[in-house]
Amino acid sequence: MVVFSALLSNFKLVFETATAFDAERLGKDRITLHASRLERVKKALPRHGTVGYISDLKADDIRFDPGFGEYYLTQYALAPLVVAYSSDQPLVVGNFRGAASVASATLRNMVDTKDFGNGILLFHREGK
Amino acid sequence: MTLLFSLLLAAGIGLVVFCLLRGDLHTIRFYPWLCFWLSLGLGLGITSGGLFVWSILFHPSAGYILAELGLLAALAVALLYRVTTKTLAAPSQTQPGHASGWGSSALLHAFFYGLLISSLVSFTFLSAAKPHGGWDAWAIWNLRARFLFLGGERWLDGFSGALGWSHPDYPLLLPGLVARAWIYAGQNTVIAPTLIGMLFTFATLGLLVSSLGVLRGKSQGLIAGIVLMGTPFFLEHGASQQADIPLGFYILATLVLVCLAEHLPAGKNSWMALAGVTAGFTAWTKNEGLLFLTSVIAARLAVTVGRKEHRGGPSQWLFFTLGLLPIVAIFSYFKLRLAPFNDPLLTQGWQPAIGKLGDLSRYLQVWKALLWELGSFGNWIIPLPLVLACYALVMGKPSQIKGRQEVGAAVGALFLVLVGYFLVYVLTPDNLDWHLKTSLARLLLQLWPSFIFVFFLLVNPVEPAIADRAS
Repeated sequence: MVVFSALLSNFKLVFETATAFDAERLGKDRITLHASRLERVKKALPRHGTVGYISDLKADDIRFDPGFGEYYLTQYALAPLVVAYSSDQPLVVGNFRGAASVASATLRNMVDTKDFGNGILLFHREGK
Repeated sequence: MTLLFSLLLAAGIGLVVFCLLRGDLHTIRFYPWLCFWLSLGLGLGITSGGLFVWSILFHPSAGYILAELGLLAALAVALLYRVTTKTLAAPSQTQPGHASGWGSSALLHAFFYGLLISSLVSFTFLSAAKPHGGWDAWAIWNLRARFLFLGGERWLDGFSGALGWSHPDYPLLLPGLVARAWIYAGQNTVIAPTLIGMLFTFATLGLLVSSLGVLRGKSQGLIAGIVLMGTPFFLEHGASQQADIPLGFYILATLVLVCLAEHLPAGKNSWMALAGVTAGFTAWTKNEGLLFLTSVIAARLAVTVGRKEHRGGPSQWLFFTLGLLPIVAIFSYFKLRLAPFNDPLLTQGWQPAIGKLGDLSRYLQVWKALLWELGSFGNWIIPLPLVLACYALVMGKPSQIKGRQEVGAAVGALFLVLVGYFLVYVLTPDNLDWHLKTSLARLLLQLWPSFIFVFFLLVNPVEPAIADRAS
């Protein structure tokens, strides 16, 4: 009975993972795709230090909002650079999904906006 | 290839340290698989701690490879000196359990290896689907590894206050190992954390099977291994590159070593020294390891202190402490000098904590969640804990349990950890429902391999039970 139950659960797992596997999706997971979005801006950033981050995917409590995941993904992709969820840095990475949000961000003392495509922008904060 | 070399080197260092502490080569000859899995765990822990010490003294760099090679050479010379100048008695040839009948044994082997292949296939598919691992893997463990590997002289930026959400107070065994593998490979490839996750997953299986093989017989070990592989969540979580499976490995290793000290009395103190090392690694892996460390000490004290039949108690504790001390030194330095003190559980203040302790509804909520998760956390089709309960009723327990005190200490340690987890949930400042849903299954999984180990220590092996009924 013990062996039978274990076999059943194990074979269910191998069946599920094998049927869910799609070779065409290799290298197209969420993290890899987000990292490739940031590839160009990464080259324009310093290797170390802290940069800010603004986005139109905002949340009050970062731990409970899956939408905030893109901030974590950005930090993971840009490490060893520290990415602070704040616009109070000389350099600020923008991650946007809508043109209206980009426009409002540029109004907040941000200058020298550089567009890296795919909704990724780099701002130089005025006075910093 | 360099990745494999880095892991082989870690295993080599572990093996030499194991032999050095045992003071002989006989143990490896008699129990090769058991020694191999224990050595692998030791080596992974030592090299992770080694990289941390190197990073503090200098900074993470390729120079560490030379330091490790030098360490291995120095340890090998010390071992050579020890085994050639000191002759210890060979380990007592304790009856390694009951011999299996050839029929049932062959069938068990077939099931075991069938499941092993199936588990490896599942693991590969899971890793390919999520090469960066689960959420906590990339948001916490591999992120910290990136700071270690890519940060150079600025590696401490990874503990910046801006990254408070990534739990910079979490210990560094796993990030250290991943960063170390990347240093060897010269790039931060996703294969490194995948391989390390795979090693810990299957080392846990190997240690469970081989230790029960020594303590209770091969069949008992194989059935235990089948139960572990029959837990889909164990394989899924192993592939997710998080620290719960490594923690589970070191918890199991500590309990195995404590039991071996009773079962193989030759060089008893050396088993306890090794248990001290692995217990230290639990704290170096995850904060929960501290709870286990205090639990295993308390449980063992409870079952041994004041008992006349327990010989050599003080010296065993001395050796346990000697094994533990270097890891505690590393861990303490990390906690006191680098890790920010920001655990919400400890920083919430007395008033809210006392309020929660007096709230009975919280106890009830945690209890209900615990009962629910006990039957479902493994993602089984048929809940294995229920099946094991039936199995225990059918098989019964041996008339005399070998190593009674040590088994008692293992049961006590697991029970105390469970009580600790229970109280942490009662006191949590987070939303209790959310906290239970996102972590209870993982906490139970940390203890699952050790629970299986203790269960099969306490239940009659297959052959004697059949023989008893026949007579």
